[in-house]
Amino acid sequence: MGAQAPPGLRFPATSADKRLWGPSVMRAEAIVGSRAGSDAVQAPQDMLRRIARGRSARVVVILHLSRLRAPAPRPHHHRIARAILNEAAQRHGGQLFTMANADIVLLCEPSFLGTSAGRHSPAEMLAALFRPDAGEGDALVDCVLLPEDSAVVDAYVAARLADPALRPAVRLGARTPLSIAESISPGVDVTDMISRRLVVRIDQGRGGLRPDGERVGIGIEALIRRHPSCAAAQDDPFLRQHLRGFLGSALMQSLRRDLTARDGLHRGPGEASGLPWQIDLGAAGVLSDGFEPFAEECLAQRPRSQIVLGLREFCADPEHFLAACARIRAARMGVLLHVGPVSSLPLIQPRALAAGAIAPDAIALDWDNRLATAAPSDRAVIEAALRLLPLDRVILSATDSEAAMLWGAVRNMPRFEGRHVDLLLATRKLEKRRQDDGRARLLAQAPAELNAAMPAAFAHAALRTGRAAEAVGAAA
Amino acid sequence: MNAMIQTLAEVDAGLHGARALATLARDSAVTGVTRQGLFLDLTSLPRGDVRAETVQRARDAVEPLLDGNRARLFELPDASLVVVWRSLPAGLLERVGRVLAETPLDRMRETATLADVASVLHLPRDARKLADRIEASLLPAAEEEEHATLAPLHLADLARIERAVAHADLIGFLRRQPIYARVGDGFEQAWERRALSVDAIIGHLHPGYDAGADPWLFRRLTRLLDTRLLSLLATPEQLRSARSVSINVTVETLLSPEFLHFDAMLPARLRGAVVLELDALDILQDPASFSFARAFVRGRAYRICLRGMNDLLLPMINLPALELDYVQIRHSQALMRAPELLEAAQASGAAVVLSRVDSHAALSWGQFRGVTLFRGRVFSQKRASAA
Repeated sequence: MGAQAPPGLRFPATSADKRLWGPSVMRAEAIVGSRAGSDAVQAPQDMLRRIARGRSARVVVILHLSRLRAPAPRPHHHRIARAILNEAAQRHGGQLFTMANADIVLLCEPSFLGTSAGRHSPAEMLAALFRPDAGEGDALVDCVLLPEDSAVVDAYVAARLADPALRPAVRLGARTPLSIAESISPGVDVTDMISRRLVVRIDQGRGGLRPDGERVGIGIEALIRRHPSCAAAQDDPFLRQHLRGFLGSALMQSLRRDLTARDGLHRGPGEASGLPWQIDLGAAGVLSDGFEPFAEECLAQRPRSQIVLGLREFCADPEHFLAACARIRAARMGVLLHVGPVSSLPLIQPRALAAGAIAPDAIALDWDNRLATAAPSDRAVIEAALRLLPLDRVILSATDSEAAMLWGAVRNMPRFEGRHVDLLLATRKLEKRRQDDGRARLLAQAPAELNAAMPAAFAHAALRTGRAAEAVGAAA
Repeated sequence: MNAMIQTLAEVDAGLHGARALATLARDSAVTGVTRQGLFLDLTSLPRGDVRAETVQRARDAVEPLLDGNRARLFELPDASLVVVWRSLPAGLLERVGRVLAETPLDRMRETATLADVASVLHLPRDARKLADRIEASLLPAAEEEEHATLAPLHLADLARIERAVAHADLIGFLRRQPIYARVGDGFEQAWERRALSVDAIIGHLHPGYDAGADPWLFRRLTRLLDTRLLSLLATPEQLRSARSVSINVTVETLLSPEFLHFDAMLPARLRGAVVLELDALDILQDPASFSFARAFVRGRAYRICLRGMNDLLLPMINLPALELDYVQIRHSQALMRAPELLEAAQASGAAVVLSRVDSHAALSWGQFRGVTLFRGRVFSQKRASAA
């Protein structure tokens, strides 16, 4: 059996063909590892160790949820795994333990392994369920026979005791309920809730990054800070979408003030000024009364901006969405279609997306951490879908790491937005400031006659400074 | 269509009642014969099934008080009820008052009773008043206005509704819609779609508001109702009567404790007989969770249906990649103009369920295109004409 185990499921060698166990009765019970203190956390480990050293025939099934790649294990992973194992525990006289590192251990009768022909065992089912979230290499499910392989359980328990720090407890709570303690007016001033993020383009000629646009929208964290009654929006995409539409007019009003005050709110002198906006307004905002005058003012004072609409909005109400697209085009602005995670590409038709009814001017894809470690077959499907997209129109959003940026750059994606981009730009700014400070110090120390004689030298230094900044971008 | 036929039948009965009551009032005024009546004004209740249910409860409440041919029950077109006695036996009004006070106005307004909407009439003294009331019951304008002035729901309204829904008995809002399969020369019910009527719930809890005005608040509400429906269907009495059913779910619902409870309660005979209907938005929102949920529910012998597809959505979604059992596509003129979309869906490996089949033309078109599963009002018409 060990030789034919499905991917992610492992049987120790000595456990392979032992099926001669007598029945025993155990109480089905769940013990959840507590984050409160190490004593409670050690209880399942002590019990496991005690049973491992006994002489009765048992099977220990270890589901290594701790080996899943972030953001897993998510609350539902835990819930489903527990449901499946709980059922097995009841059927095979077992006991469940949730370890502090998020693993779940089932201790039960050996009958657990004797599943009927053609039916997947719970262990196989779990291995198959979690395979997409598991890294390569280590097995996700270990089935250990006792007393033969007690050393394996001992080693596992020892490893848990040696865990340097407890992972935070898995949150199993329900969705945050809506609060009506505070109502928000659609005309509220959202100036301090606006999130702004630069979009950069890889400059193929000079090998650096140059700002290409500014993504603006309502920052949900800032909104919740100001209006705690919106806390439910933190983990509810529907509520976030609603608030985006509800506050669309307020966003436009605030941006209009920004247009009037040419020095801007969050821009440094000369920085990002005049960049086209990518305004996260949503279809509801576009179809509101204030859109046309806003678009007019925007066009008069900025390069052609784009309005961000989500593919989810299209799925929710295609007619409404297409009406918003028509209104954006009538206002001579562009449509930026936010598709969602790159991993969703195989589920849609990229060609129809780019050229069909929507025909967006730009397409934003969110980087997905799963891409870095996805199975080769999954990666191949995503790559095939990507090849059908006009990559020159793609913006890789949520570029939060160097790996993300490299992934996009290798695939000739020209534009990026995300925390890593912000970091690069900040580094570039710091480098520039450091060099400016160095120049200032030199100026202060140099004799007046030398300063008068050296303008060309300082101009040269400034040029070098600019190149150094570009070099920082290129290195990234 | 079924609902409309029912409504027409009710209005017809109401017209008959109005005519009869008007004649009785006129005769009383002309002859001076005295009558006592009880007027139950049910017009303040939201329209639709909730009101129908309450009218039935009111009817049941007064039925035992009808004393042979000494009393008569009249139903007006606006659903109000009038009971008229030839002569009021001693203590009857008190008895009626007690019964009405013990009868809740409806399931969700437990503090209000029928006594709150009851008034006593004395003929011929109140003949004019009664005639005016009968006339008012014949005016349909109130409903039109009500629909025209529906306001969008706001967050605060939704919060109130969510709290009420969390604990309310929603059985009265459960709706069933059959899905028919073409079998030989006829149609047989393949399964029954069960859903909670959002409009009826909003009409009841928060009348005058449009639940669908904001698609996102609507989805938040329906997600909550999905979990409530699961809890409702997991009760022994519902499971006992259930055959093949389909239910609306979200990916999140499938991974919720409510679904796990439903799954644990599901009897063996219903394994493989439950179709879970998801929509594309929900799948694209979190593809990883969708894949996980799909693998989980498949392992438990559920079938998966992608619902709400139309001529605009079909070109965008890669149906084979979703590995579906069914795809539900809305019939429309636009779809008839683009039959290649239907063909592509049929080639995806999923069986097509054609919905909104409200006419014989739509049904014929679907059959001509090789569709074998249908949902729509045309079947209610067939049943009505057969009856």
